Amino acid sequence: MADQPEDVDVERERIREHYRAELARVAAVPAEVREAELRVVREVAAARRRNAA
Amino acid sequence: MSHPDAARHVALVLDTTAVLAYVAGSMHVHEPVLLAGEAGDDVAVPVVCLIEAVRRDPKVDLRDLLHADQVVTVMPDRHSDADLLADWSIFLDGREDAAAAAVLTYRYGAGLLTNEPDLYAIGGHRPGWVISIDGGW
Repeated sequence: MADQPEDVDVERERIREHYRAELARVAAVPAEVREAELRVVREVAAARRRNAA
Repeated sequence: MSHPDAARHVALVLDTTAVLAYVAGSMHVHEPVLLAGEAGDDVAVPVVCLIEAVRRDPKVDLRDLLHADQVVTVMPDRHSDADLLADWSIFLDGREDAAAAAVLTYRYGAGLLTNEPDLYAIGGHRPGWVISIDGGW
């Protein structure tokens, strides 16, 4: 049976609520955490370059 | 080519998988894009992700995505981001599209919407800036 319009609206609102929370979660990620992750990426890339040389 | 307005904040970056999901009509991409726009924020789509989406599906129709007011197409800066892009490309095993998405996510302090969340794992952990399309909920 096809979804009723109200079912679609409920599902849509659930999805919006989920991603609203996800965007808020991402906005709260500290800059220093991102920087630390970036250092790992750069270290891994450097190690792979050395191994490939 | 469009660029983010300096007065606006980029809240979200879409990678190739998110572009393809948007075009397929996924509410899990349409709604976060709408939410960003409603908040006055932009959504950035790397040009290489658009190219990769077309490579994967030559019939893909990107017009709806590219006409959305809050969607801007961007490229990492080829000068200031060159080293960063190269490092991410190596880290991601040559996936230049994903590398561009990751670089822009860092540049803007944004979230990255993707259907490949584990691709971006760092040290065995999914970074906090990754938003899985299915949400795992």
